[in-house]
Amino acid sequence: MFWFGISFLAVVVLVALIGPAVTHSPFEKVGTPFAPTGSQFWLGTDEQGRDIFARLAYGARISLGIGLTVQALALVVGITLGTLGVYGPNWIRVPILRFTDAMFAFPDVLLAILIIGVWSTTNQAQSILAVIASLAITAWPSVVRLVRAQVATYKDREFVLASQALGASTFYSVTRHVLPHLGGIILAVSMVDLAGIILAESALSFLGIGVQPPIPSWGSMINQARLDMASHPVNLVWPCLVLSLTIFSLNFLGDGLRALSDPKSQGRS
Amino acid sequence: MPVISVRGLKVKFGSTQILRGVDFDLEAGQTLGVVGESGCGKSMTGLTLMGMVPHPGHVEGSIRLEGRELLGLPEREWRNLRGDQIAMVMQDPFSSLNPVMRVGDQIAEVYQVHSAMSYRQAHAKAVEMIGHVGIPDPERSARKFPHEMSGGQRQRIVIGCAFAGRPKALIADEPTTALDVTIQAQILELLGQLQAECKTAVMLISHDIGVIGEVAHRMAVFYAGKIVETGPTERVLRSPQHPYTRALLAALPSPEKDTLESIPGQPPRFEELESGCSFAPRCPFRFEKCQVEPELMVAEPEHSKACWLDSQN
Repeated sequence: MFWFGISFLAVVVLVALIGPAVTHSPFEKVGTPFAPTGSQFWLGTDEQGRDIFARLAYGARISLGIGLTVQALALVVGITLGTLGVYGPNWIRVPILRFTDAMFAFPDVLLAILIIGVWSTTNQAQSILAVIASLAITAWPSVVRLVRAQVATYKDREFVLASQALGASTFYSVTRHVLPHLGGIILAVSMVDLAGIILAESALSFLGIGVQPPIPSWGSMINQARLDMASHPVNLVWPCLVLSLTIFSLNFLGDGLRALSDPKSQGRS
Repeated sequence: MPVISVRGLKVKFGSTQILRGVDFDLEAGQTLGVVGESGCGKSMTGLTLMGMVPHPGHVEGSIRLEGRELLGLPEREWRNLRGDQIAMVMQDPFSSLNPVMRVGDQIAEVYQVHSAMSYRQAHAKAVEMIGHVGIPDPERSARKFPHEMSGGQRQRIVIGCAFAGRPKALIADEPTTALDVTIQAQILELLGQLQAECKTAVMLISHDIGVIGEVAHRMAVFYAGKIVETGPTERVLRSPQHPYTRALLAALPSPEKDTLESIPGQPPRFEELESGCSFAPRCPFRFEKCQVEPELMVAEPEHSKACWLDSQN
């Protein structure tokens, strides 16, 4: 399953990178509405006559791009705060941890909807920024928890003390001796987090408050295809299938990486 | 002038005193052996000399490095001293090296931290040091990870890290305890060789009196956060003055003995210390005077003990 995950994600990334360039424009009407699957339109056209394959490929760019950006932001904030949550002086350590706990009390998607609602966007580029910001704000607390727990276990390990006994500053010993150990577990957890973020982005777009048309997103494509579900169910299948398989794949990849980074499991996944 | 001079050193955690007034000197090129049971304050003394007492600990007294008072220095100045003037070898070579870092880089780190050396220069010095601590094929060994080395080799790397800065004082906290007996002798020999080269003053913490007797010029016996006997190693071992030292020596195994002697009772818990001599509850020779705590007093030239027995006072 690990290899299925890697292969499928590789295909998605490849299609996202070169797909929109080799097919039709994802934004414009290029054929008759509801054209069937064929050599001209690989997955047919939607209700406005736009190429579904091109829209899925462009949507992959949006979904993966937003997902990776959000996870990167969450990692930067989470690793910084998580490390400060162990090494920081009390007046900064305690507020960080309490604030992180408080963030867990909010339901993620509701908080994201609230943030988007407050941030009134005027154009499509801003709508993407608003989605990124709202998802990033809900994504970092879990990273803080993970990093804090991991850093705390390494803080008193003898080799960390030994490096300090040889004159290394706290910053140096944390960046050279503590954080490198977190690489494996952070990578593994990031894959699962990424799946959650992509799903959340699709949910926002499905509700119509995420990425704004005409920019395609998997979520908004599902929402539109839903209207013609009775007459053209196949159009609904494609975005749903791609979204589900992407999320499955990321979870498989996360599990596999976790097994690899844990020596006790001997690389079984 | 001694390299390190410790006077009236006390360490408190809240109301619990871990060190209760310790005095000793470390002389250049000489080794002070420190013995005592677990929890008697040996390791805490080492950490205090490194300025690394864990958080709520409070340190009093005086630690002078070549006449310069170290207690009260800001952390930044301590950091410059550590690894450069005072270094430490920890007990367990299996955990005191970073498992995901090549050993050459770990030694190079010391050079990079203390002198503005490029990575290339520092790495070249590290390879040189790896050869110097007696590991074959230093070029290739520098690229190894700790798990690819044996315990003895790892401890050689740890010692290489400690001597990379040619320190004036070295604290070796049980450097051979985790190793095979056959390797122990080699590691002690390496320590002695580097010590002679750098004229380093060494404080060798061990609960193995055999090790201390072999390499230490002077020794100090710790009990419940105090030194109860100190003097030249030979004299302390030949004519121990404190009942605790005698009991420790009697507890050593030897081929002539059928059974091992033990010291009845437990060392006192620090929070339960009563007034008077802290060893008195376990001492077979205790008498009325032991209700007053004895300070170190001269038993014979250079040899002191903290015990009222056979004393003139």
